[in-house]
Parts: sequence; structure tokens; C-alpha cells
Amino acid sequence: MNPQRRLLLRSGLLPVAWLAGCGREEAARGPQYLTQSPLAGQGVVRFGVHPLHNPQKLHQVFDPLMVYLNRFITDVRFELEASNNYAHFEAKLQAREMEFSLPNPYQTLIAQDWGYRVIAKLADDNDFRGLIFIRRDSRIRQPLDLKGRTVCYPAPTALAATMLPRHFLATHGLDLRHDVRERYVGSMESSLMNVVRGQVAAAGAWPPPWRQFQRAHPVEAAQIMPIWQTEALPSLAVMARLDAPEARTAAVLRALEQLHVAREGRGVFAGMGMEGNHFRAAGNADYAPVRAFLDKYTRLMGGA
Amino acid sequence: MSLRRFFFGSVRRQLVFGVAAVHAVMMSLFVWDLATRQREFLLLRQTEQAETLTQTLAVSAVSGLLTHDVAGMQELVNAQDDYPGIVFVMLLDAEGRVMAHNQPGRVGLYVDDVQTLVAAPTEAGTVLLSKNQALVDVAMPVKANGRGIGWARVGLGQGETAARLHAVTQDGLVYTGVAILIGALLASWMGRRLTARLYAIRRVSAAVSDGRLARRAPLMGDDEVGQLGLDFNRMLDDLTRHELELTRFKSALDEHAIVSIADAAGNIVYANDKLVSISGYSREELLGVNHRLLNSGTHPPGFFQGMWHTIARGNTWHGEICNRAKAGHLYWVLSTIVPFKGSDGRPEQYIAIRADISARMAAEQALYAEKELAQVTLASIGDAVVTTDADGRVTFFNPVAERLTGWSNAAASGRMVGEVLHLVHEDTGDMVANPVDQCRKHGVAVNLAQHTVLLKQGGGELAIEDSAAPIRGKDGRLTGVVMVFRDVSDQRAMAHEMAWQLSHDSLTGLTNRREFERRLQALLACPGPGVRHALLFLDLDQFKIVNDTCGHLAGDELLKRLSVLLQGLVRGEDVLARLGGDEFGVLLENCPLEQARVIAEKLRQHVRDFEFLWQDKRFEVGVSIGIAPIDAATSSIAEVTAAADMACYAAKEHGRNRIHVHAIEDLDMERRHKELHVAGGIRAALEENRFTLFGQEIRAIGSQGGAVEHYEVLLRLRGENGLLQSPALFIPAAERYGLMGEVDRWVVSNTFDFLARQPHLHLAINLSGLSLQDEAFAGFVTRELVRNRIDASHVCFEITETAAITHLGLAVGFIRDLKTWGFRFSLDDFGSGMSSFTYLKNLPVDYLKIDGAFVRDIVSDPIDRAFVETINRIGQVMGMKTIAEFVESEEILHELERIGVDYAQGFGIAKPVPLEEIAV
Repeated sequence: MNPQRRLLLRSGLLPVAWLAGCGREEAARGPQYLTQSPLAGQGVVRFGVHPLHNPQKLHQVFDPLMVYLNRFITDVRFELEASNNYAHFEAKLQAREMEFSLPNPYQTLIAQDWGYRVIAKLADDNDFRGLIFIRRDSRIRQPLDLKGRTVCYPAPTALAATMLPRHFLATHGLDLRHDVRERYVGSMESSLMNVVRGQVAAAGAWPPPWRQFQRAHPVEAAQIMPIWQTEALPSLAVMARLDAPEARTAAVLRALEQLHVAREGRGVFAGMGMEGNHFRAAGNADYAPVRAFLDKYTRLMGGA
Repeated sequence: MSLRRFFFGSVRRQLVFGVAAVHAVMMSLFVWDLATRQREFLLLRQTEQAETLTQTLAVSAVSGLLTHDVAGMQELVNAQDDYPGIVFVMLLDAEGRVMAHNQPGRVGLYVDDVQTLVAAPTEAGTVLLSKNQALVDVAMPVKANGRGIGWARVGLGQGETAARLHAVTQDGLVYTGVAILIGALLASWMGRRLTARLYAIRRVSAAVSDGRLARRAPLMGDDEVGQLGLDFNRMLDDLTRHELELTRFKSALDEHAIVSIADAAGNIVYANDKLVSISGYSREELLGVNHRLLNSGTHPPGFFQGMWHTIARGNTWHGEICNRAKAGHLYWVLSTIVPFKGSDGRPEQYIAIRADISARMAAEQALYAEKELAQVTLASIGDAVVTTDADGRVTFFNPVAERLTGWSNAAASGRMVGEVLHLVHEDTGDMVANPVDQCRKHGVAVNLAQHTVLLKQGGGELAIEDSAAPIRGKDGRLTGVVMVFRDVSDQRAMAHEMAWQLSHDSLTGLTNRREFERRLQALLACPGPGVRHALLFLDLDQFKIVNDTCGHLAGDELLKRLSVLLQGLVRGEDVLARLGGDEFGVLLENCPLEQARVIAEKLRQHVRDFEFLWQDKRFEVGVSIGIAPIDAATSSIAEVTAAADMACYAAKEHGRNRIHVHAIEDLDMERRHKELHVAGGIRAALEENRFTLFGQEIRAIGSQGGAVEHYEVLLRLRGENGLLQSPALFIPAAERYGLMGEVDRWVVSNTFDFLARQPHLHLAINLSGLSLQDEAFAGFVTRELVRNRIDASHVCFEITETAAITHLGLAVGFIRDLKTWGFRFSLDDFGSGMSSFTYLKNLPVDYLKIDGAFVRDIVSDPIDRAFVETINRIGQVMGMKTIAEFVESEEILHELERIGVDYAQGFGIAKPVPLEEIAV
């Protein structure tokens, strides 16, 4: 090949070479990882609520309370801690993962042993009692009519909806171990729906979930009715972990005492099914009746 | 440079390279575009997949994040780890802490770019943190009840698709290379085919360049190249034809003009035969030599500098050059030098075309010399000369014309002559026709109208006399007009004065007898029915007393004052005249006799009341007034004059200082009486020889004259009472009654008789107009001459100017006749009654006697002095001797001496004495 031709060929291939260079890959760069949050944010205070709703519903109801607290107390940020179920919640209680918590009365007792103390409780205890539902068209008129029938409850540790009804039935002539079949269906709504559908003869629940059920499912609710109610026990408490700063605990208490007049308060109480209720200051001693009932219940039920 | 020549030095290579380059560029663009589109498509899909994965993860991670269900979240993450191309999958809480990650070691750490996530707008759902082929990094906020509680984040690489894309691109490159190769080969083939014919044309072009003009390109088909061949052949045909034409032009030019070509340095590189011929150099001597060879050295250095300045800038130069031939003689050429520029924009060649104009230049120089001569001549002459072209535009003003008009030659040139020469009539001020225009109009010489005045530029006026004459070309056509004029202000002023003198009495300023008679004649010439006029004759009483006791000066002063007095008493239209001596006349037009009488009475009264003081003496004068009516019946001046004269005489006779109105009946009586009286008196005097002769010396002024004694002979009449009478008393009567001829003869006889006894004297004899009319008088004189045997040259006859002019023809004949005998002649009273010097030229007199009225006041009156000066100069110019009368003092004599008057006469020189007393 003479030099002229070689030059020609080189000139002709120049653009091709240039094009080939264009296809080079760019270097990939993902996120880099650090051991501390790059956000110089405030400290997070976890506020656990017992799973009276599924996590998203619970978030819907109680996130306003977090907003309220964050407005009231500005040096830290309150964050709602939801749980998938009671076991999950209790495990986190026991692990002391949350600085403040709103457990149910039963958990209020056991949490005292895990390092929490009561700082406030709902003022009105009247709602905290058990209700036993039957279908309206049922011919059950007294507890003994349940003999041979099936009764359902949300969960074994549900104080108002399970323990108080069972105690009632047991103290009204039924031998729970033999006379009836008992079934735990996971939640209040599930419990009531079992009655509506006639899959059980009776079901345990308590007033707040009943009121919510009436609103949510009016047709179904019209088919059932509470036939018996139990005695009342102290209602829900707010607990603080023992190592929580005293000032912050006091601030939270003051905030809770004002909640019912705050704009967020109505939604929070309605979400709990406790419309018209409010918080007041309380201590561990306020829950002595619960401890007494549990002792009585344990003795009565034995291995049941 | 070699690369450039390689590509663009050959059409064939340009074609090959061009086609190859187009192929390469087009194919490369195509492959590049395809690869780009594919890559973009893949990236789009990659992004969509990453977003879908992220959304899925975000939706399912709500509960896990709310409940901090780490295990549950890890399961979600693990479930997506198997997706092809996954780089990372993670769930982050609101603080950016890794809650779950497909690389478990990352859990519990924080991502560094959490701020980016927090700051990113979340309305769009996903946040695209990185988008390229290596990694599409997408995050999506996990929300519970509208509040962000954490993020789901997926990083997705390309995986296999990148490799597939690369393979496609490689294939494309191979295709491109093949296409370029095919294109280049095809272009090479086409190039050879196209350019073969171009090379053929090129070969023809080279042949033509070598001079083979007949070569033509072969016919090569109908396409553009074939057409080019045809056009090229046509161009060669045109070229051949133009070359032929140029050759012919050149030979024609060489026949006509002197042509040379010079290089940039001015060295001759071509010279035609004409140049060889006119310069005398051979062609070999001229070529390669600088043009300076021909320099004549007659032009100033700046001339050639200017020429070079022009042509070196690329401009054509025209001009006339004087060159020197080899033989040394000079020749003139009209040259045009045209510079031709080279590619650098500077002249590289000059073509000079010349025409021999030596003959023309010689003619021009001759013409210039002629013109110069003419202009110098015009500038030197004393008259103003103005020339115009045929249209009347000024072409030349000589210096005198410039001075007289106030226009410079430069300013006037080119203007219409009427613009610069404003000519008006001296009396009316009306514009008069410009002689130039008249001359142009009529084509003949024109003299200026009399009384023309030139209005000068910038004010002032000038009396001029002028004429205009046509200038004609060779063919007889009018090519211009020459106008000549001169300043005649002095002559014109003098003529005015002369005219005034002719009609006025010089002493009193009143109308003189001549004018008075003219007016009277005019009045009689147009008689009207019922129109009545009156004539008054005034004669002063006791005037003689004043004159005799105090001298002429006092008498003259009295007359002047009385003139002023009388002039104030007559009406504006009336004519008051001094008729001579102490006689005055008043012509009252349209004045009935009664009114005339009233006016006369008024005059008489005022004169009576007038007191004249002279050197402490007081005089009272009176006046006798005669009135003669003038009506249709009045037939002549003589009649009415005689009537008034007689009436006046009657008034005197009746006791002076009174008025007498003439009556028809006493006319005859008076006339008779007077005739008898006067005529009888003169005749008696002649018979009784009571006339006697006096002589008054005429003395030469200054050194001239020597011992010659001149006397004017004066006539006196001794009355019956033995007293001498002044000629003023009897000469008017002698003239009126025709007795002067006899008186003159008596004077001549007696003077000649005296001269015979005293032959050394020179005597001047006064002759009356009557004698001039007497044809026998000259014979009488010559007879007396012969009888007395005297020298005629010692006799000078004095004739008054008035008499001479009145009978000019006779006077001239008489003078010529007697001058042949040797007699001398003198023109008396010159200036008093003269209207023009013109007459003077016709009167061959020897002496000019300047009127004493001018001489008397010569010391105090500059106008009189100017008159005397002028008359003296004119007289002397005409070869006459001048004599001043009335020289009454030494001062006057000195003044006359200064002026240069030849002779003086008067009381200041000598008083008249009886002739016999001179003869000592």
C-alpha cells in the first residue's frame, strides 16, 4: 500500500474510531454508608401503643398525638412505635425499646416489673368492662343457655374483652372447661363478626370496639346485641420508662392532661373509642384492682 | 502544505476523497445515532424497572417501618435481590438508617445522601438519584397517612444489555468501513473517467500557451465536460479574433501616436517607431533605459514629482511634457500615462501614449506673447478699457477701468457688463443704454450719449465719455466688444460753468444781455391774443460818482448789492438782467402795464431807500426806469428795446429817480432825438477829431518778453465840454447805430500812424463785430499797413469771443486773411461768453485774453483760479500766449506767475495813459 492510500484509509476510518470511543461505560456510584446519621436531627423518643388496631390504622389514630407532643415538647421528637401484635408489643416492652408506652391494663401490670411506671390514666373507667354479645335472633337468655355452644374472644390476654367475660361466665354457673367451646379469634372485630355470622353463639368484647363496629358495620351491628356486661376495672394508662428524664416525664404528663382540649385530642380519644374521656395523673397504685382481679381470675381459671 | 497540495492539487483525488469522506461521515453518523438511540432506550427501560421495584418495595414496607419489623423488612429486600441487574436494594428509616439491605452488613449504617432524599420533592413519587447505564438509583418515600416514615431504594445496573449493545455497535463499524471502501473505489473509477477529458483540454491549453493557437480540444460528448470543451474552443476562437483586433489597434495606434511602455522603475521596455523617430534615439538606445533620458530639464522638479505621485497611486496622468531629442532640440508632447497594477496592487507597468504638439505649443507661445503685449498695452494707456465676449460678459478690465469703476478685473470678469457698468443720464438719473449692448445689437462702433455718468461700485459717480467697438473673429462674426471711456468730470464741470457764464453776468450773477435778449426773443416768438408783458429798463443815477470817487471795486460792490436787492423784489418768473455798466433790464411776463408800473415803483422806492457804505463814505443812489409794454403789436426786439431805452432816457431827462412809461407817440420823437443826439455826437467827434487814443501796458510775466513793450490801445471820447468819456458811454450807441465801423477805421488809421512813429512798440487794437462783417475792412487795414509802412507783426487785433463766435465764418476768414500779412490776433474776454472750447480750435489766434472777471478774484476764489488755470493750459497747449486782464494787485500777479500765464494787464501793472505819453 503506497503512503497516499494509507493516509486516505486512515482519514476515512477516523470517524469510526471516534464513534467507538463513545460507547465507554460510565462508573457506577451508589450511596456511601456512614456509621452516624448525617442528619444533625433531634433525639427520637419512641412512644409505643398497644396494638388495638393494625399498624397503619394505629398510626392514623395516634400520629396526631405525636404531632401534639412534638408541638408541646420541642427538644426531642416523639415517634409512634406500632406493633404487629400483642406479643410483638410485649417483647418490645420487655426489651425497654420505648421510653413511653400506652399498654392495656394487663400489660400495665406486667410492665411495672419491666421497668415502667404509670404516670397518667384515662379518667373515666366506666368503659373498661367486658360485654358478651349474641345475635338478636338467638334464644339465649342466661349464661347457662350457652352450654354446648361456642364462645369466642379476641385474645387470651385481653383483659376487658376476654378475662372479664370469662370471669363473668365462670361466676355465673358455666364450667368453661366442659360446658362451652372457647375460641380466640385475634381481634375485637373478628370476635363480633363471628357472632354476626352465627359461627359462635356468643362473643366477648368491650364498649369502645363495639361503638366503632356500630359505626363501621351498621347492618351487621343491628343483627347482634350485648346481653351481659361485667364489672369495670381501671382504664388505660400511660407509662414512662423509669430512666426517662423527670422533666420530660412531667412535660408529657402536662401535655396529656391538656389533650382533651387540644385540637388533636378529639381524634385521639375517638380513635381509642373513648370519646368524652380525658387523661389525668395516676400512679402504679391506681392499678391495684386489676392486680386483685387477675389474682382472682388466675385462681378461678386454674389451668384454663 | 504538501497535504493540501495532495488533496486539492488534483480533481481526481478531490473526487475520491470527497466521496470517501461523505460515506465515512454518513455511515458513522448512522451507526452513532443507532447506538445512541439503543442506549437511550435501554436506559429508559432500566429506569422504569428500577422505579417499579422501588414502588413495590415502598408499598409493602409501610408496616415493617411502622413496627420496626426488621426481619419482615429484610425478607422484602431479599425477595427483590434476585432481580437481574440489581446492584442494591434497601429500606431506610426517616433518618436514613439502613433498616434492611440486600448486603446484610450494611444494616444499621446510614446512607450519606439522606439530605438529598429529604430535600427532594416527593410529589412525583420516585426520586431519581442517578441515571446512567452503570447505575439507575431510584428512591421512593414510604408514607403512612401522608407522612414520610422512610425510603425504599433500589440500584439497578444494565447487566447483559450493555454487552449486547456493544456488539451491535461493533457490527455497525464493520459495515461503515466496508461502505467507505466501496465508495472510494467507485469514486476513483468515476474520477478517472471524468478527468481524462479534462486532461485533454489541459493539453490543448498548454499547446495554445506555447503559441500553437490553431490547436483545439477534441469533441467529447454532450455532458458538461463536452460542453466545456466546446466552450473552450469557442473561447480560443474569440481569443484569436481579439488578438487580431489588438494587433490592428496597436498598428493603428503606432501610426498615430508615440507609444512607450515602462516598467515600475520607469525603464523603457517598449518603444514604437514614432518615439524612435521623434527622439532621434535608436530602439536599442531606448530599451532598458530610464525615461529620464528624454527629460528636457525645462520643467521644474515638482512637475515630475506630481506626475509620479499620480501614476504611482494607480491614477492616469494627462499633461504636456517638453522632451529633448538626441540631437538636443526640444519637442512638446501631449502625454497620457496609464499605470497598470500587478497582483500586489502596485503599478508594475506604465503605458505612455503621446502626441506631438510642438507646432501647437509654438503657436500658443506666440499667441501668449501677443496677448501679453496687448494686455501690457491696455494696462498702460490712460483710458479705461473694458472688453466683453459676444454675450456681453466682461472678459477684461484694465487698471484704469478698475480704478474708475471700483471693480477689480477678477470680480468683474464673467459678469454681464450691465451689472458692473451702471450708466445714467447726468440730469435725469435715468439708465442710459449701455454702448456695449448697442454695439452688440447693431454690430457697429457706438459713441456714448452725451451727459453720461458712471455710478461707481461702492458709491460715487463719474462723468465719462466713451465709445464701444465690436471685436470680430476671422470669420467676421462678433466675438466681443471693447469699450473705452475716460473721466471727463473736470471738463464737464467746466463746460457747465462755461454755459452758466454764457448766460450770466459774471459780476452780479444776473442774466446777461445775451440771455436776456434770447428770453425776450422767445417771448415775442409766441405771441398770444390778450397776453401782455412788460419790459423795464433801469439806469442807475449817481453810479458814476461812486465809481469815480472810490474806484471800480466800490462800483462793482454797489452793483452786486443792488443786484441782490432787485432780485428779491421781482417775481420768481421775471427775468432780471444786467445789460451792461449800470443798466439793468427786467422782463415781466404776463404782466399788464399797471402792474408793471407798480413793480417799477417798488424797485425805484427800494433803490432810493438803499444806502451804500464804502470806507466810511455813505452814498445814496437812485434809479431811472423806463417801461415798455409788450403786446401782440410788438414786432421786434429792437422796437421794444428802443422803446424801453427811450422811456428810461425820458425818465432821466425828466429829473432822474423816476419812472417813465413809453407811449407810442413819443417813440418816434425819442428815437429821432436819440439818433440825432448819439449819432450826431459820434459823427461830430469823428469830424472834430475829438477821439483820442490811450494805451495800457501788457507786461510779460517772469523772465520772458524781454524789452518788447506791449500796449492795448484804448479809445476815449473828449466831450463837447472837454471831459473824457468812457467808451462804455458811447460804444453801445455806436454799435446800435452802426457807427462802429467808422470808429474802428479811425482807431486803425490813428494807431498805425502812431506805430509808424514808434515802430518798436507792439500795439493791440480792439475790433468790433461790425468790422468783421465788413468785407472791405480787411482791405482797408492792408492799405493802411502799406501806407504807414509798419511791421504787421507789431499789430495785434483783439476780437471779443462773442463777436468771433457770432460771425464765426467771417471771423475765421478775416483772421486767416490778415494773418497772411503778418498781423497777430487775440481773443478778448475769453471765458465770459464761451460755451465750448471747440470754437477755439477753429480760431487761429495768437493770444488768449482771459476774462478779467476770473482774474480779479483769483487769489481768494479757488474756482476762478481753476478757470484761469484751465484756460491758460488749454491756450498754451494750443500754442497761444495767454494774457490776464484786471490784474489789480501784486498778489494776483504772483498767482498768475505761479499758474504760468504769459502776460498781465490791469491797474496793478499800469493804468491807461494817453498814447502820446508812451512815445518817449
